[in-house]
Amino acid sequence: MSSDRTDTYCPTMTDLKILSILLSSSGALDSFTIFRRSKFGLKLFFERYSKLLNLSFVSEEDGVARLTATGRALIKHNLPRLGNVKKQWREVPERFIGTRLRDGEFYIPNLELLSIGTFSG
Amino acid sequence: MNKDSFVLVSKLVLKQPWLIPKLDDLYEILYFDCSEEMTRNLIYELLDRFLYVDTAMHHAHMVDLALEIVSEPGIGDENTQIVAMSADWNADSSLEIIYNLKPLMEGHGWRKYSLINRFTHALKTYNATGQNNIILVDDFVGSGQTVLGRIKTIRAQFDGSGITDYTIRVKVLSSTQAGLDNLIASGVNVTAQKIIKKGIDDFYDPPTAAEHRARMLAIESLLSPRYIFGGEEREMPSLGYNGAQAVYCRENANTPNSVFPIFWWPFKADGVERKVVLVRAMGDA
Repeated sequence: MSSDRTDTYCPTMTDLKILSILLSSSGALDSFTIFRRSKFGLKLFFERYSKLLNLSFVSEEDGVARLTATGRALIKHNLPRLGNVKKQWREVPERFIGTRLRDGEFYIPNLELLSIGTFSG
Repeated sequence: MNKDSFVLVSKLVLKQPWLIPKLDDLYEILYFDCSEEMTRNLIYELLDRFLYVDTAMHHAHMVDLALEIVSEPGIGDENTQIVAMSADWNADSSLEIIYNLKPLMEGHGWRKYSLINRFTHALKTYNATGQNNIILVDDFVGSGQTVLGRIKTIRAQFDGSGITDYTIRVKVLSSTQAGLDNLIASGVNVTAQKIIKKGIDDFYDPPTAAEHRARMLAIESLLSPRYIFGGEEREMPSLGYNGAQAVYCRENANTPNSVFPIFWWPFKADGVERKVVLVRAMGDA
């Protein structure tokens, strides 16, 4: 049953963030601390947190949330989704990359800033 | 948000998850409308004891209602008409009840009975079919006054036509205890799938209840006392219509005016719209 649930439930990135906060805190944490660390709005936090409780990926007692065995399996299975998100738009195209400058080497950042007296003397 | 507020809201919304999409509105009621801690606690406790009928629970109630009708002693498929409490051409929650009953009654093999969409047509149905057992159905009973009015009209119609061999039963999904008591005291054969207690009077000792009612009246003073609709004035039903103090709502349904207006009355005293956690069509207010 538990492996079924981890196989069939597709967690949102919000779910994974909540689960990973718990995982990195030895599996148990005050729900208020999870909320603060997640930096989510109150509504989004409770929408996902209550879902995780309902699906028994997380249990809560006296305000302390704990990862269940299935919750731990789910986040471990999905850890690569959190770490390996490649931001393609941050790759600079080859044609924009010039010769690398050596330390102390001069360069002109903006031709418009040159004046008649820049290099005199 | 500090930890105390978070813990308060957390306990509430994990028990009443229907409030999660309404968190911003809830926050406004708890921390802007309620200036005192005791008032905030009262609102919190009322929301905590809300009966929220979600779609699954509503369906379960419908299944039970159908079962109750087919197992009712003394009536049968051939001689029964199930009649909505609806009075006219307006959309009404009782119409939803009779429509939902349709497949459920078929499931019990009932095919000869009638499903009637207006209570004034009960006599017409009797004249056409001879079905003399009337079951009035509705979603919710608040004070019970509407039900008594419907029964009075049906009796006047039948008695006026010299008909005496008919019965009237009332079956609803939810009723306030006071509404149910009122109907039973008037001799009505009535059942409800869920009974709703008064949110304040039935949960505190009399002195505490009096204090809480005063607190609620103080918050209600922030609301507009009336709403003008199509030339008609509708009074804000203080503590719920007829003081019903209901803490009840149904998913995707119109909130009854028996519910404390602080949760659904959409105007402040100065007429400006306010945030609410429940919705009621103000044409029915």
